[in-house]
Amino acid sequence: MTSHQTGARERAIISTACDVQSQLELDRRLWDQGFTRRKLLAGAGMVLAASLGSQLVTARHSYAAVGTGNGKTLVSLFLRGGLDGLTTVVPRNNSRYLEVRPGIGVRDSQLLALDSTFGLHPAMQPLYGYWQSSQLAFVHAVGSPDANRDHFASQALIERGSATLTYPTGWLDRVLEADGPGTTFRAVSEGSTITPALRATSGAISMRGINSLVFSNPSTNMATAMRSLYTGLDNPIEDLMETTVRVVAEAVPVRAVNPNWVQPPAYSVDPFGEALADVARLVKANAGLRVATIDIGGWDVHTNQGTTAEGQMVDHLTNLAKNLAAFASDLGSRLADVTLVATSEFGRRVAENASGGTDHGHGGLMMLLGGGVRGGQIHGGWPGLAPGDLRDGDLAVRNDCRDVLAEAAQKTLGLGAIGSLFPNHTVSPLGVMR
Amino acid sequence: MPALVSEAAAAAATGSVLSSDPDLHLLRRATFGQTPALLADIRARGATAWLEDQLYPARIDDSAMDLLLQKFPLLNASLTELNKLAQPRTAGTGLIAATLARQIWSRRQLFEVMVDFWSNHLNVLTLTSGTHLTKPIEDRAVIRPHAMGRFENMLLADAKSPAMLRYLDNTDSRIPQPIENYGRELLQLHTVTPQAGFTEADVKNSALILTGRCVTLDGQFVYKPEVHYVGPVRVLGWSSANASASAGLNTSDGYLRYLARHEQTALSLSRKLAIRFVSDNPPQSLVDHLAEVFLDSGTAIIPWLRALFRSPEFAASVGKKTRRPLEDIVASVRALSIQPPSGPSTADIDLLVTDAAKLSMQPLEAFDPTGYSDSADGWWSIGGMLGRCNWHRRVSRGHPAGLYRPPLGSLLAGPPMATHGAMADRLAVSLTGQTFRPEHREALLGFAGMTSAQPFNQIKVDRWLKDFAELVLNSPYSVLR
Repeated sequence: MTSHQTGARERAIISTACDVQSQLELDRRLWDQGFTRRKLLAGAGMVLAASLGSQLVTARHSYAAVGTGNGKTLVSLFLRGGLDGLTTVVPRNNSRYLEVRPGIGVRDSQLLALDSTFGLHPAMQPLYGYWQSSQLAFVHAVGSPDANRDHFASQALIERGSATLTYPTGWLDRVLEADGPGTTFRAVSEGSTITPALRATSGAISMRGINSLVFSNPSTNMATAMRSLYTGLDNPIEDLMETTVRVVAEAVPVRAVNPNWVQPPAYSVDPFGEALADVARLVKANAGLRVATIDIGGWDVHTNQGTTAEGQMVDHLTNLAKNLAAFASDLGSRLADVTLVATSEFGRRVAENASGGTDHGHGGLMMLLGGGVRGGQIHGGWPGLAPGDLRDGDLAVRNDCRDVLAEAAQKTLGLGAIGSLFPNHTVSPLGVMR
Repeated sequence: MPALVSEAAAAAATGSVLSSDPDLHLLRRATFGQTPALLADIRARGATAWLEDQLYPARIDDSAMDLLLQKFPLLNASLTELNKLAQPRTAGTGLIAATLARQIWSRRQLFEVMVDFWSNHLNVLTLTSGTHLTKPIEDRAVIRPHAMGRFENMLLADAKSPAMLRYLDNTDSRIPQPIENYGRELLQLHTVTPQAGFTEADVKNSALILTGRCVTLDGQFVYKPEVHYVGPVRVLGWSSANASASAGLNTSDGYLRYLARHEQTALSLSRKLAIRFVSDNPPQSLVDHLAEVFLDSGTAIIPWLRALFRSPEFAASVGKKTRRPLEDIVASVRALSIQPPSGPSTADIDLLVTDAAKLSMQPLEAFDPTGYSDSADGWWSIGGMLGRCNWHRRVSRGHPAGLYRPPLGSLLAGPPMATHGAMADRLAVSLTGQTFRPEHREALLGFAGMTSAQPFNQIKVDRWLKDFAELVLNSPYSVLR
């Protein structure tokens, strides 16, 4: 992927909609690698049956009551491109680290101390207070068990919980099944399309802020006309228009909770800042938001990763930390009701390349922010950077990202059984949540 | 020459609101949007003759477009001239605006559709410091010359294109630690795709063999033997002793030829082509047939397209594609007969580019090397649906104000209309080439409290015509293709 973007932050939200083609191709490749067809079909069949059942329930009750569930919200932030965890949460006093990263390694003297083993990149300073108040945690050497260094396959593995098209739903869609019916705004992708993790039957909506949910044609006949024009089409776009018309109507009372709302100045005026600000607005308006997703791109730093003074990583981390701090501050006491979990498709190669960047790797970094997070800690195992500990030049994966995601969802939303969130995987919580 | 569409296949294409008229179906797919003039042309000459001209764009007089392109002087500027620009970004923004202008106003419509297809396949983000000067050169030296030529030649040229070599970092790739980005995406996206079963070792070898393909500081391709890896390389079924750095460019050209003609490349490209022109889930029978034609013709693109448009699968696919945001904008401008700027300024075209950006589909600005998704679910969005509806309101009310268009009333030109139903039919035909189903016609008129049976009332129609145009553009008759 590219690294030559100027103005990457202005346009940083990438909606990497999983292309059907690559999904199919991926699927076939997995067949080649020895997945058994029967196993997959059995798994998919069970999920399909389950989702159809809950879709019926959802459709019947979904848009009635406001404020269902426990009133809490899971925000899933996807850092697209492959976050370099070793620049973000840095091994301290580790001579091997600077040996393999002579140009881009963050020096000990610049780190914000996290614990005896790790320090935080100085650009993350706006979030350091949340570490100290135990509302910010990290999991290092985390990822999906299948190393493939492929953006698209790795994103699918995490977002669907499986790389196969046969497995038709996103993991957050399955969270919503477990959560039961909710309001129109119970599941929102802030962006131009529904993120793959929310695809399927949950009725998630995509938007660039609730203020955008209007027809500019002022006629009161607009909704009826649009619905009627899209009746009897024998095309899924009929459902899209039906949903659009309904959501436009239901956005009115949510906006009315705070009709003079303006985006707080602490956020960036860019898609990332705007998305976070809108999520905070929905939380504070008690719109029934259970799951929100936000994407931010630009992490694929093959070149000019830079130092703590200049370069791509310091720019991206500065923007990330600034906006997450603005979000936490904007939420105020409601941070207690929110868990933000940041994921990326993979970590990057341990050694820097010849161009001051890093190529695709495996073990990565996850971040959790919120009142329910067991913060001030780096959770899970750490394999180390010694040559014998690496896997083909990559940080080994010691912690399964599915365990972190499942625990964050279960504890935040108060879900019961979550055994079926990820196919063929039994969740073993790391204790990232209180 | 067989008919483009068989009767049986057309009959099978039921269920869509879109007319199964084969001429309209072809225009909706092979162009950026039907117009009454285009429909008259295809009716007069027959679909076969019309398509043959579109397959050989040089046969089509496009002198009006050539004149319009003179408003974009940077399009043909030399690299030396481009390097002297005080604001180099304007080379990129000019290319983007010219691309949109060509999609709207060029008569070589299928050619522009294919330029879009290949630009998206070999995606390069245009507005970056490394590419805003070099992407315009790639457009004119790689994509356009080969868009109707041979894929193999396009791939070879692209692997020497400064824009691509910078976008995917190959210019910085060197022994002993090559950057894998281009070598990986070349396999994964541009050619064989993961279906070929390539391994991480293949990716590494792919990156190694491509070392040396670099870009000078001023943006020219250069082969640097001193950074080329020397030693045996093997990717899938291709291998080379690669014993000499000075021969490295030839060796890697051999690798690119192997990939271009690989069976999996034929299959993946054919599937992509079928997704562009047939449906989001094209029949495997069609994909297999296209792949065969592609390989048999030595990756030639014209026979491949001809096979696609003559296939029964194409004929049976009426209404199965959804216009993406940019296609919606271009088709709407064409349907409203909005004219290119008459003066030297291209500011109004830039306004349309901004509109496309707000709908997340600025030309030549897909962020990822995958390019923009070409299937409806990649654009499945409430915000996107509202965004296009709200844009239709603006465009039907005179946006962009600097571009001339005939008065909306001219969409109703013709013999007197007896009823509001006749008026709605004529408006729909002007904007979409076909009438609405009765229930949709009533929905349109009902917006203004009118019915089909009512006698035609000029005052009422004048009052509501802008809203009617907006609703026709909002309707599935415009949004589907």
